[in-house]
Amino acid sequence: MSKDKIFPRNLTARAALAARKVVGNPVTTMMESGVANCFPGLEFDVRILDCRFFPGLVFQFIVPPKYPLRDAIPNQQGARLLYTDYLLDPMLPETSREAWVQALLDQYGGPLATTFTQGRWYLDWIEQDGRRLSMRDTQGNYLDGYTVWRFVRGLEAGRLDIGIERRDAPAPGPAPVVAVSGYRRQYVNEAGLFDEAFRPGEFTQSMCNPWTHDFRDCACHYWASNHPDVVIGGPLMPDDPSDAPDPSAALRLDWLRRKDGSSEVSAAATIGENRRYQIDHYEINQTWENLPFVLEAHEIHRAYRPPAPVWGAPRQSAAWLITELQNELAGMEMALVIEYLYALFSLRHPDEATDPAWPSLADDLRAVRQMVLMVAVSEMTHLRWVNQMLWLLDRHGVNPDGWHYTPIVTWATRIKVAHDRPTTLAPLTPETLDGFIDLERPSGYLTGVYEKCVATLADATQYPQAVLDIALRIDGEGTEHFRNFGNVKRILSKYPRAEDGGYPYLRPVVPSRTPETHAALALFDVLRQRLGDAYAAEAREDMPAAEAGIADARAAMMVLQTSAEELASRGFGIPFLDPRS
Amino acid sequence: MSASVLRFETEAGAHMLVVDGSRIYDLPADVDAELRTAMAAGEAAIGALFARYGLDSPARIDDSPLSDPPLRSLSLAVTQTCNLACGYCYAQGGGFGGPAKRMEWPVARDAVLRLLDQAAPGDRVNIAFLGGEPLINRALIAQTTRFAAVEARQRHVGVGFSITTNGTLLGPEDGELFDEHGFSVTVSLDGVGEAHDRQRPFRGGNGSYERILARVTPLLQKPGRMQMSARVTVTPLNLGLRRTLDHLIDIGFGMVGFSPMLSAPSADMEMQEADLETLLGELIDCGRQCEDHIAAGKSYPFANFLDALREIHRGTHRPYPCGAGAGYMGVSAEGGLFACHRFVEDDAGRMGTVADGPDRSKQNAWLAERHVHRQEPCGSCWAKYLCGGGCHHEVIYRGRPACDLIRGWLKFCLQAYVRISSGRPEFLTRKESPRWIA
Repeated sequence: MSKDKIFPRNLTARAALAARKVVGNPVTTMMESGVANCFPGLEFDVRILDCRFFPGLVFQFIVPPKYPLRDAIPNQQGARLLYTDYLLDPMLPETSREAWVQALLDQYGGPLATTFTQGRWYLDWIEQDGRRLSMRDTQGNYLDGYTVWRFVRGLEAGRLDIGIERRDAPAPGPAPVVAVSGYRRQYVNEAGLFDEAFRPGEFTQSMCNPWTHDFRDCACHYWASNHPDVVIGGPLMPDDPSDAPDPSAALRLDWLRRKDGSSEVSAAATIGENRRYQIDHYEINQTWENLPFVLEAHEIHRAYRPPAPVWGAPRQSAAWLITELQNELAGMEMALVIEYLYALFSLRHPDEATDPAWPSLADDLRAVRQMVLMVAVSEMTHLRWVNQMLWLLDRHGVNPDGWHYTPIVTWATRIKVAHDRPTTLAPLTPETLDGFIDLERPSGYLTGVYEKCVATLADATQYPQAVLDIALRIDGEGTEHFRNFGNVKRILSKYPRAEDGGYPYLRPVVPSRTPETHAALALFDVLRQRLGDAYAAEAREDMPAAEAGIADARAAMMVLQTSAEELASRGFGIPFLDPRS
Repeated sequence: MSASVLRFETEAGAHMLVVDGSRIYDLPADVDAELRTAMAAGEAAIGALFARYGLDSPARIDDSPLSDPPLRSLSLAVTQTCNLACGYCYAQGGGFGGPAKRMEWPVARDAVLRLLDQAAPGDRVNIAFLGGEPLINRALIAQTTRFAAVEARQRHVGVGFSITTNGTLLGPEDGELFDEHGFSVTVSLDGVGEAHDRQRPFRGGNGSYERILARVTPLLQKPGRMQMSARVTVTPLNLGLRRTLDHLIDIGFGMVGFSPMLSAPSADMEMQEADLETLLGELIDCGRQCEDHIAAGKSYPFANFLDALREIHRGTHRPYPCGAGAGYMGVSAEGGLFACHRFVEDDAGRMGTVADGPDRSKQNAWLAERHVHRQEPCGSCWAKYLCGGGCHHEVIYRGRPACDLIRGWLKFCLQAYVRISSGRPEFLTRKESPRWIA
């Protein structure tokens, strides 16, 4: 039992804590973010639910083509009216005594019976509760189908007016617009069944048949796929990464490989080379149920049990929150950015991996460098987020002891892991890597502090929701860093230490003080200055200045990256932590 | 006493049972100090403490009663007569205060069909044979069992069988039937020799212990698929639990449990306050013994303790003590439906007939009435969702004399649970679990 935490002991206590941890999709998630939601192929296309949002009419949501033909008809995007379909619409019974129903039936059966059959008609505006939404942007350009669909999706049940415009007007002058008035269709009727206006087959019209054929072929070379191309061999990483390494752990296996033992080897680099080892169309039809689920890039063959969270974080005061964010976390995030970047540049470039003794080294370096870079970038994002939390709190009037926001772009001189240590520049040796893993371990110091922030910010009477959202996101990403470093360790574990103490994947980099590294250091300081200016501008809601500052910082970062890479290839490390004059 | 939290201690420190959701937490010293202060200040302070530590949530059990639950289990009073004359019998010699009766085949058949007709493929139902002494009507048990097994298989419904018997009539042919259908067999045994005979004599006055032992031993030696349990009814006359428990485990019972006699037709067999205090001490003594066995990786099938551990580990929280009048009902020999086997022929628990099905209005009224939120003094008790308010039959006919016993026992079990989940966590989570965790 941990002596400093409230420890949930039985199953309901653990479940209650786990339930609090489920934060769901980030606030930026769009309906169309999920491949399954809006891309025809394997799943039901949810946009179909809204095609009949207005009684008697059928629309289609059209996205502009990425590469339109030169002579294609312009402005095809938006919600196009396909046809009227009112005779069997359960919202429009002929015997209805509702005036709006009879009015619509009169229109559909009368003047509109022929109007809509000629030309291209599009949804032009929607009006509900006295507010009108135009289907054009401020410059008068037609909105794309996704945006229009989001508007329609967001409509509330109830009274609704819409305007439908003919885009290929037969005569010069204002385009004809037809206005109709009715009620928004609800997806299900009172019995809980889909509204009977939806025709048989309508929901499944976007799905491939048999879907498995498409599923087999749909991979990342084609577009963002809904199945993995490759997986990392070995089981999902245990909580303790020091467990005996699995021999297959470093392999990247083709997920579609035929499971006859012949293909438990690293996936080849091209589609063609992998193709002959993959299951075929006729096989996937019969064995798709045996394809394993993949979690964190590992195939899992049993129900996944998430690690049990064990921290009951008490709420703290506003003064504690500000102090912790400003004096500890912001600096820590910056220190981590520096440590991780230094470690990243200590790794050889894949082009430098020419030793025939290690044929897989170039591929492994490609993967490992990407993983470390992703963590470093994520820490940069965290640095921004901690700053953002501070300026949002300031803006919200959280000012304990007269505190006000100033940008934090300096680093902490100490890293508070289990054993508090100075911030250090070190190449990515196994020891350094173990230190990183410890640092990012869930329920370590960092996650602990963020969890306390989350618990404190959960008090909606004091703090804005946006700040809580940010804290939740940072808290959630710690586990991802931990897994990334764990995977790096597994991949690199097969390369032994050489007699001279080096590793095949490491450059002999040491912090150096040369004119070139001094120039790089100056660039790094300029970058931080620009970043600080941009944060300050954003804090006072001067967005043009903020965007300019970020663009400058980004440009400086690109130069710095190239320079750091080049210096490291010659064994020179940038002494990021040197005292500045 | 708080209605929302119980604070308790073990050698490892302080812990609390949060009543809502039966959640158990270990407390660091500073939080423990806060909790003690909050408990002294009252429920509002406790609620604030929960909120501060993120332990608050909407109540898991509200006031709405269960309604129209599907039937999952029936007990058939296949006879309403008995060859023993136990002084405390709720069925008063098996006849439930009326003349001796036997269930006929059409009633048993209709009961089975009633149960199966509303089960969906994949569901599991249970049929229990009770009496009186059910083995007096042995032929009907065999016929009903075979019929139910065939019918259930055709409908892809799982069916389990159980029987509670006094053991005096058990024979080899019963063993074969029970083995074939995986019966759960419970034998009523109240002690060793004389202690048993004092409470469970034949109608003529002779003791029944030797006879039962002779009948039961062959089955205990070769149980096959059947599971043999002993149930001990505890009265003021047989309070030496540990000797009984060890003896029954020694002779081979797979599970042994104790039930205190709280409501009997004759008051001298009912447990009084002092008896209940003694009983708590005896139960805890047996519980410690079981805990020692678990710590040493050995088996000790003490049902009361193992059941409590399972419920505590799961965090069971329920608004009723059992399924009586909900998913479980008792069928009288003549085909009446009652809230449970104890209410057979009792208007307080009458709920329709096998022929016409449960009387939903009576059943729903029962469920509304019996919800633990409607019971007093349960509202102020921390044990209410683990206990569910106590056996309906005992509460209606005797009240709640045993609340201190229940709380005392649960508190001991909570402490033991903390010790076991620290020292032997695999005992609570292992897949190859003993019968009680299934």
